[in-house]
Amino acid sequence: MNGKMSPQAGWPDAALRQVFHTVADATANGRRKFSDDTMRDVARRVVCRSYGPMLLELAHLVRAAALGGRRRLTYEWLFWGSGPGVPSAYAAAFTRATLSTQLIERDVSEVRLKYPGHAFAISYGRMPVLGALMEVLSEALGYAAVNDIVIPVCHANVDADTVVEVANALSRAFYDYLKDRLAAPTEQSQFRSLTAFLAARSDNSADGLLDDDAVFGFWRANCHDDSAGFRTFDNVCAAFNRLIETVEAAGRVTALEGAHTLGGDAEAGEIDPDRFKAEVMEECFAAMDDVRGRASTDEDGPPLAVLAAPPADAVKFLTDSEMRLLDVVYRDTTLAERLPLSALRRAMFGALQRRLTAAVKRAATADERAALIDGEPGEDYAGRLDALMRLAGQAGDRARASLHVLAMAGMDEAMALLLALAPDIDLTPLHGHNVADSDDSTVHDGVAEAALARFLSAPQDPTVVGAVIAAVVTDAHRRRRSVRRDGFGENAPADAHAAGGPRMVAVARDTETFVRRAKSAVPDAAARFAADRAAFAETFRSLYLAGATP
Amino acid sequence: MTWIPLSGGALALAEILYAVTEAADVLTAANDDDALTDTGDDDDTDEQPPAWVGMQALYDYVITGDPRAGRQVRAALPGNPRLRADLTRLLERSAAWMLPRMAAASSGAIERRQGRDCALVLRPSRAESAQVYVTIALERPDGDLPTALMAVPRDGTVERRDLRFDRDGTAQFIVDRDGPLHQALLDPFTDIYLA
Repeated sequence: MNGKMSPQAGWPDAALRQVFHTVADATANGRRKFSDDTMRDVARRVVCRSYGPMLLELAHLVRAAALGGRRRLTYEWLFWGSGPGVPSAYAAAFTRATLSTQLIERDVSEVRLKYPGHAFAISYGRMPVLGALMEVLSEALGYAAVNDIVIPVCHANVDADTVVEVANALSRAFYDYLKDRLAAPTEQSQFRSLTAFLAARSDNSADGLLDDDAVFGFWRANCHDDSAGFRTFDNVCAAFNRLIETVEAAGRVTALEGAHTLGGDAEAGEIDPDRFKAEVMEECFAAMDDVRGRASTDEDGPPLAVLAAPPADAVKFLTDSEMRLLDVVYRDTTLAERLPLSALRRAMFGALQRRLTAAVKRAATADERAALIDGEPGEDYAGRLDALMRLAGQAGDRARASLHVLAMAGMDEAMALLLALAPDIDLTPLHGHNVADSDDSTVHDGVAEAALARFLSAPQDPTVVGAVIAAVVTDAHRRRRSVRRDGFGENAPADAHAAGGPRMVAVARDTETFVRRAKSAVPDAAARFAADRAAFAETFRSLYLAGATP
Repeated sequence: MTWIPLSGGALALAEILYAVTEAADVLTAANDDDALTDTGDDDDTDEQPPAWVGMQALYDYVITGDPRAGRQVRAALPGNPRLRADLTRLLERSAAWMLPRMAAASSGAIERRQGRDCALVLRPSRAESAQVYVTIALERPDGDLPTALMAVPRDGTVERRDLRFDRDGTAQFIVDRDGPLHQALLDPFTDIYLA
């Protein structure tokens, strides 16, 4: 998760958190029962109290389960006896069930309940989140209490109104449970302190700007209040990262105009989530996912995380110090993308603040602390950006080295890596004609397969793969020989390179992009660094030297 | 220097969005609160009882006899009336046969208990004095036969035993005379379920 502020103590309360943790930790067939996405979906709906429509679906699903032909545990078999909370497991459970076709039908994608004059369909894809909600309800209210409520839909003759009544009863019971456990979002004081600061900064006008000065100014204004959680520039950057994500998501929501009138007492800034339309919230969530998804540069996960995990970790693609250097690119990616100067400040002065914090913990003298604050920095912004550019180049070299490893090992992934490294490369020599001219996917696949086989048969032979491709692979070979670290030699683990090579392409690309943005944002890097150094030093002195023993 | 435009409307909406996503993230974040942590994650018999037992574990123990779930449930039951109520409800709904606690007039240990359409008899072993035979007879066995006996004594514990019935509806097994299951079966205040 990017840039998450510390949760407010007691919100949501410990019991509610325990409910979610219990459900999240539930296992079925030896694996976690519900996915993170499923749990997040349920949590969001619970927190913004937009679970009403889901409870109606859930009541119908209980009814569907009860029509599954079981004499006992009429509906429980589906929710706790059908394995992992995934669509295929629910589909299999209904396939095995003996259903009365007069009351319910099933097909490959859904079950359809038949009521007098009414029908209700529930897709298998929808069932995991409904199953998780049932589990949350059972943990929160108690299985026995939930059972008392849902039993009416398990009887033989049930009309749609009964299902609605059961859903409403569930809603009332859950609302009662939540009312003391979910405080109003207006109590989120940390976030409000950010927005209040921004509003005041723009003279309380409706519109304003969020920029690097706002981040730095907020930190200077709030770092002395230990209770606010903003003592470190690190925390402030994390908070602003989240703020930017949230504001951008909110800005995408079409219903924006009415947003500030939703509260019970809008003039006082009160915002009542109970009155907030669920569909608007859904738009917000979708926008939030979109913003966060954009910040993620690799669909398989953050490149550094992939590189640090098996199988890629069998190769030393990056040293620990290189990983730390890349922190500015990959930690809180939205901040790095939108406010690269703040990310740079964090990388350099946030690190200094961490050393100061450690010095305070070991009761260092004021002189020692002052030496840290006023000591000559090892590098400035320009130096840091140069170091990042060098690392980007090295990452590219190591990705090319991976290409040679994969090509020599005859692994299919070599072709994908070749295209990642040289997106515009001409593949025509591999198949004799341009496959893009063909619209027939079967022909296309067959030709692509033949081209791949041809490439892997002699990747460095220009008479087989053409001069350009052979030159790329030969260059990859040269770069591989120049990489002096574990995992690039003769017995290089190909599976590690298959996983790590593409991520090193991403590292090179993302790092270059960050450096380009940062240079554009900070054209006068030397002057900016000098001014920032003086400003941070002044604040550090007030934080760490006042009252310290000389 | 870069900047991001802000509108008052976006900020107002962002406050709500932030609050709910923050709370949702808190609910679904990795559990690093020691007070909430379930310490049992393997078959280590020395595992500590979990702070909370979920419905899935309860179901796994009662319906499938999962041993790890069983340890968790048994460890968490004492002093947890909610879990006990849920266990009782699940047993009531899953058990086709029940041997309820005896009437108030009953006193002392009992060696025969009669339920509706079933009976349970305790008989000391002649060959081994430390053992007791438990015989369960179903009067009208039909459909799915029970696969487990669950005994819920008044002290808040629970004992489970897998069963295998003959075609005529009789099951028999041996328990230790001093074991918890025998003691539970002797107690007139124990509820017995055949699930």
